[in-house]
Amino acid sequence: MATAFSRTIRGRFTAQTEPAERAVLLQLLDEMCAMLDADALADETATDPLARELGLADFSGVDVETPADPVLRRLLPDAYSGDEEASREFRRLTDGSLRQGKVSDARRMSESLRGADSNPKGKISLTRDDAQAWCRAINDLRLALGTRLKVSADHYPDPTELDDNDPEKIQAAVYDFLTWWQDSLVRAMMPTI
Amino acid sequence: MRSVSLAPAGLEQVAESESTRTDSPWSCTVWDDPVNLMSYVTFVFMTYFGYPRDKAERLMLTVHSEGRAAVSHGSREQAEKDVSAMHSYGLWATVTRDG
Repeated sequence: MATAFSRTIRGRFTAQTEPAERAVLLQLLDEMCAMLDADALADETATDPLARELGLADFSGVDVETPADPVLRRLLPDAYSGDEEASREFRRLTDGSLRQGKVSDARRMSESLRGADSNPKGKISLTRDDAQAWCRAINDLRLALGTRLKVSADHYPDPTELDDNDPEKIQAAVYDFLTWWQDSLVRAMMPTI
Repeated sequence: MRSVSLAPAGLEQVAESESTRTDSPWSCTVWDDPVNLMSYVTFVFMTYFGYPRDKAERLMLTVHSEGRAAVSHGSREQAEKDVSAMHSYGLWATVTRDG
């Protein structure tokens, strides 16, 4: 079982992990990147060639729709409530860079998880910048899982109450684990802000 | 209930800000979300806005108890920049116009 994060005297953030835990997280991170990338790829072909030439790749030349998938809609929410026009314009300008940022955080987390393979204790050692990216990536994973599990103020799926064959059991267990782990990382970082 | 502060009015008070801050009528409003941890939301307010811990916690508790809080005020451009940053942290935020 993974340990909580703690801060070393050298200012790094460390935790120990098990290979099975890392494998599950790597798979989820890959899936999330694929979701965020798939649409971005489709957008890329539609990007205004002039904007691309000017290095303004983020400035998609076409409208970017609010995602239909509830997970993507939660990761990439509307910026205006009740103003579709303003939301669409905001999305057109920021969708690409928001996706890129999330993919880059997820890849950074994957990289440090894979790095722990060569450590006998599965130790993860993060710089402050790594830890920042990890906080965001763990949060994105929790948002994705929480949306799938329909977590709400009144509904919090308890993995111990779910049937072993229920596919939500593992999702709920990972969600629980990430909730605890993210909290430990945030608390370790708090005195350094 | 609120403590006295030397910070400009409107930086932390949702209700009062709506009619009085005509020079900075736009806000970044953060909404309550069942997934985001209280510790993480506080952490984001401290990290991104540079708010001291007590102010960040107060704003986080307002989000939690009232369903939302205006966490920054300024021009529309600034509010959009802040909302964009909140989205990168996974917080649910919108650009709102005061008053």
